[in-house]
Amino acid sequence: MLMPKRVKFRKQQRGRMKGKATRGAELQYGEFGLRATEPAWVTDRQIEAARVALTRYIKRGGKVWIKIFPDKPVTARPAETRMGKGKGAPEYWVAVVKPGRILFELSGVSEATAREAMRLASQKLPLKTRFVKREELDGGEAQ
Amino acid sequence: MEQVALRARTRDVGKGAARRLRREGFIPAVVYGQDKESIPLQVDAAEFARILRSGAGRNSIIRLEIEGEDKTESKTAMIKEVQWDVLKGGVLHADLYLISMKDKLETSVPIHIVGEEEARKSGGVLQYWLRQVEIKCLPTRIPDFIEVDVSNFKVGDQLEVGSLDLGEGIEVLTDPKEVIVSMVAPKVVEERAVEPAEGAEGQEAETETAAPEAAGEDTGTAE
Repeated sequence: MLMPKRVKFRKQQRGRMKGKATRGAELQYGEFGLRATEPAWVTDRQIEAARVALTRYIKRGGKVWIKIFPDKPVTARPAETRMGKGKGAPEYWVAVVKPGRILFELSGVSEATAREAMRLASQKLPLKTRFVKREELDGGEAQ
Repeated sequence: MEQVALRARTRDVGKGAARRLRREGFIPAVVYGQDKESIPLQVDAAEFARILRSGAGRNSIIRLEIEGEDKTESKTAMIKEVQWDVLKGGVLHADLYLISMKDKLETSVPIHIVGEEEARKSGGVLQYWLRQVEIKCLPTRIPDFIEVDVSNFKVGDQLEVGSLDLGEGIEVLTDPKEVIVSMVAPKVVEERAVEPAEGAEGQEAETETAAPEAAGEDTGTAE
């Protein structure tokens, strides 16, 4: 499961997910990508599940890039405990995703394979996504 | 290279005015360069998209006709930068750069790879390392694209920038040792009969975790 090797602070405040992604919003490495169209916290398990779905479908050949990293710790309180006594213990890690962010990139496979692989990966994620592909048209991608 | 005409008009600046323009089918743009003051412009969105989709695309030489309040000026320019709406896909803003047809300029030209299907039959996986090459030449000599044929590629082959032949008058600025495309052996998935324990996966297609920009530190690979 993806998680930071070392962090400066164990617990974080929740924060907000306003606006669109300004960084990581364009295809950088691959021919095809999966773009988020709504904001969400994507957990380490969801990223791993999506990656497994993606790589299982493409089987051989192709290269996958995971463009998000779960670097935000989420805490939870143990079940059946009373309120108070401080913030809960870190339970899992999430990546904060804003609309427009490229989640996965893929290359070395046909478009049909890439579309289906991305569809399967998308089903493991808690947000709406769109398949994008690199086009000759400058930095813009075909939708 | 032929020039394409683009009608433009000076505009009001500010985000409210820019949003109004986009609603009316225009793109806010700006033109600068040649030590001239920058001029905020508005151009027709459909006309601009047509230029981007044309053969030369980003490297089109534009004959800009700027309609002022009292006179129309004609200038030669190229597209310097385009800002895209990542969700809707349209152009948000364009930077145009004034050029002189007599001076050499630096620009990047896209690489078109042909023969991918034939290359894949050899059993390898093509890896693209470079999608455009930086060149320096006169505006009239800028090629629309550079074609690279990979149909005879086998596993282990690679093509470097230094082996490109762009003809006379075109200087390549990208490092000649940089690899454009290479072919590597595929990694094969080992399908297991029993579902493996969580997190334990077999050999699968190559996966890489791109370094998260927000974290700003090296996070290593996923596997």
